[in-house]
Amino acid sequence: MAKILLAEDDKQIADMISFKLSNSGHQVVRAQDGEQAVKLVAREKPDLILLDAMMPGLSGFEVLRRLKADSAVRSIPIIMVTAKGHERDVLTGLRGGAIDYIVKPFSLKELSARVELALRREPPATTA
Amino acid sequence: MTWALRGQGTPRGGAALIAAASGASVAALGGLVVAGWLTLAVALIQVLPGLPPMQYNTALGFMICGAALLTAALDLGRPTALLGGLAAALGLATLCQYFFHANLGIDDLLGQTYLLTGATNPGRMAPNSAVALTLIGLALLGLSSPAFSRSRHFYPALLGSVVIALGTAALVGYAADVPGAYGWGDFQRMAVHTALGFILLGGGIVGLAWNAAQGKRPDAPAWVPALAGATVGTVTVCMWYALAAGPDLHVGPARPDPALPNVTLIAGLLSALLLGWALRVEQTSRRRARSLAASTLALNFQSRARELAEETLHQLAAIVEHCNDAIIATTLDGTILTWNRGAERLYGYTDEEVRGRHVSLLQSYKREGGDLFQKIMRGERVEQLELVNLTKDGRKIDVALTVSPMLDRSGEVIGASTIVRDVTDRKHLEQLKDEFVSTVSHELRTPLTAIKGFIELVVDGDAGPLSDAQREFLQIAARNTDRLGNLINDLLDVNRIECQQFEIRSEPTDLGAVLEDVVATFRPLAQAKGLEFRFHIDSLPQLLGDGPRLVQVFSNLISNAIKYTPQGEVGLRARRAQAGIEVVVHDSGIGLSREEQGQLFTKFFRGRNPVVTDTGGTGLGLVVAKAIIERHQGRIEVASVPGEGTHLRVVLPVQTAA
Repeated sequence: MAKILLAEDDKQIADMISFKLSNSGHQVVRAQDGEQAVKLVAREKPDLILLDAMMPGLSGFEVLRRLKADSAVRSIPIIMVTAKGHERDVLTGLRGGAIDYIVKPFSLKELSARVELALRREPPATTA
Repeated sequence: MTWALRGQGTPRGGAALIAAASGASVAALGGLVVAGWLTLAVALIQVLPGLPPMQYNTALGFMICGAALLTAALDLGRPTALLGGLAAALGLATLCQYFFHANLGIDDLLGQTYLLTGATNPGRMAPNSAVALTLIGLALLGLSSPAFSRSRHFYPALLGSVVIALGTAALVGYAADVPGAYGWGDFQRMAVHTALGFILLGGGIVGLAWNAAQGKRPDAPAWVPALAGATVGTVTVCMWYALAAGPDLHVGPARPDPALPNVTLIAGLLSALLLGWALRVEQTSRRRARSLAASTLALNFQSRARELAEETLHQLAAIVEHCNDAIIATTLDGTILTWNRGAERLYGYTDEEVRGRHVSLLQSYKREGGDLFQKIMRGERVEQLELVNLTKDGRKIDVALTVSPMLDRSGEVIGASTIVRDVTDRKHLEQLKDEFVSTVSHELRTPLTAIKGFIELVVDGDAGPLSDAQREFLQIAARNTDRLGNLINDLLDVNRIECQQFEIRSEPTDLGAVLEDVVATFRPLAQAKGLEFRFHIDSLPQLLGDGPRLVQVFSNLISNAIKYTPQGEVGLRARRAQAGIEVVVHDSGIGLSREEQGQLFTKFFRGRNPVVTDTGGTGLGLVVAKAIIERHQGRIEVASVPGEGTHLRVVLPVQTAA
């Protein structure tokens, strides 16, 4: 049982992912855009963040940058979920501090497996 | 004036006609005289009573020579030679009789003479006639001979002109009452119509030789002065002889002055020389005048050619000036020499403003031009060099350059001419297309993600239990969403390939591991279909490449092999080859026709076979696979027999990792 923040502007996909993760026994907090995601992360302190790259307002990459710049939430693992599958985008995400990158369309089982993997990881040592 | 030529270049036309006419009339004359002898028509034989008669043999000679002249004019070599030889023989034989005081019995071959003139050897041809006949015969022989080349035209002409002179001297003798001019010694004398006949024959021969020597050139033959001199000289000698050596034959009332012959000789020879010289001078000056005219003509041509060249230059300059593309001429160090209106329009600077400035004025950032100018200095062209330039008002423009060396006359590279094309609009369009494609693909992926995810939820039972049929149908739907996803990926790849934005990584890759992964993924699929799966992977060196992309390539090849093979086997074999690593994917499937093999690597190619249309696939996989292989500097080849199977051979070079 973990608290997962899902930032996804597409309601159906958000429903779908929420359904799967809830079925797996997790609590899902949903954000519909970047601004909301940043606020919710600060308030809810989730165990894992699933972040869509293309959202209205703040893009997923910008949200990533802000979260990683905030020492209070920097250690929360982030998985990018996006339709942008180009290597350039993957690298932007990973270099920005995401621990994983899932390209749409994805298999829910695979997403689920990656989520579990991310939750089992030792939280990275906080930088001094 | 030119003469039509026939055969080996023997003249036809005017001269030939005249020669033929004179030949015919001389032959007729001879015939007439013979007839005169036979019919006792004395007028025919001696023209006027008391004058020397034309002898039988002279008449015969005329018939022969006339005929020969006719055949020569008709370009009949063999008869001319035969008749000429006969005439020469007749003349020579007669001369021999005179010389050796012999009688060969040839004088009355045709009949006994009955006109006695008191000369020795009655009935014999006059010695001067014999000489003339011999010369005519020899000239005819010369004319007909195959060795009668242009350089030898002179000799027949010379002989002809001497004969003319002999005839003329005789006629002059008759007119001036100087018998020595038409009779030599106390021998037979040349008849008046004999003299006439010889003049005609000589004239015909000179005419033929002249014409043949002249050929197509407008000039008279160079030997004409010599000919004129020889004629006058011969006449002179004859007259001198007639006056000096023939006093005892002189029947006139008064003896001429003893000095007369010598004066005649000297004056005649001098006038012969003068005539020859004058003609020569005339000929030379005419030739000079003609060559002068020719060089004037050449000068005219030259100035016309210069005008044309200037005109062409002007036209070229106008084309360059008004060309829509910018054209810039620079020195080798990049100083602008000049540019056209296209360049003025593109950059905003006038020609005067940029002359002498360096091209870096136009560059938006400092770039190393060394490589470019080295290429130019080697005389090579640089094409489609794309960069960003700056206009006078600071606007950035995308340009494509074609830079060519400018050569001077000796081929030395003295500068560069650059054609600049504004590709800003094209670049903008490319960018729009790029954005469009990525937006569309995003918009496609999002609903596809939802479809795929929800189907998966239902199939996996997350939404409650479902029947076998429901599960099977949903699985079909799920497979097709996968296919749609692949299609989007392939479309994006193809778009990148076409925009030349298709990049692959270049890192040490273990191809053996890649292939084993692929085999492990697809073997169950093949076996599920009842196909035998054979594979053999040698130990392979590492290569520089893009592992995931190589997985994509071989997955595509093997999934195709499985797809298009209803029964039998599929397989993969990898080994070290001379050119690198060779991987062959084979199957015993439906195969490809020759035409299909040609289209295999084109977009949306799908086999027409009904078995194929049942099978999923985007028709783009092989296009992408080929592009990936080519980005690895490798190549892919297909060999296939319809109904028997297909071999796809991939060769990848092994680049030693740096």
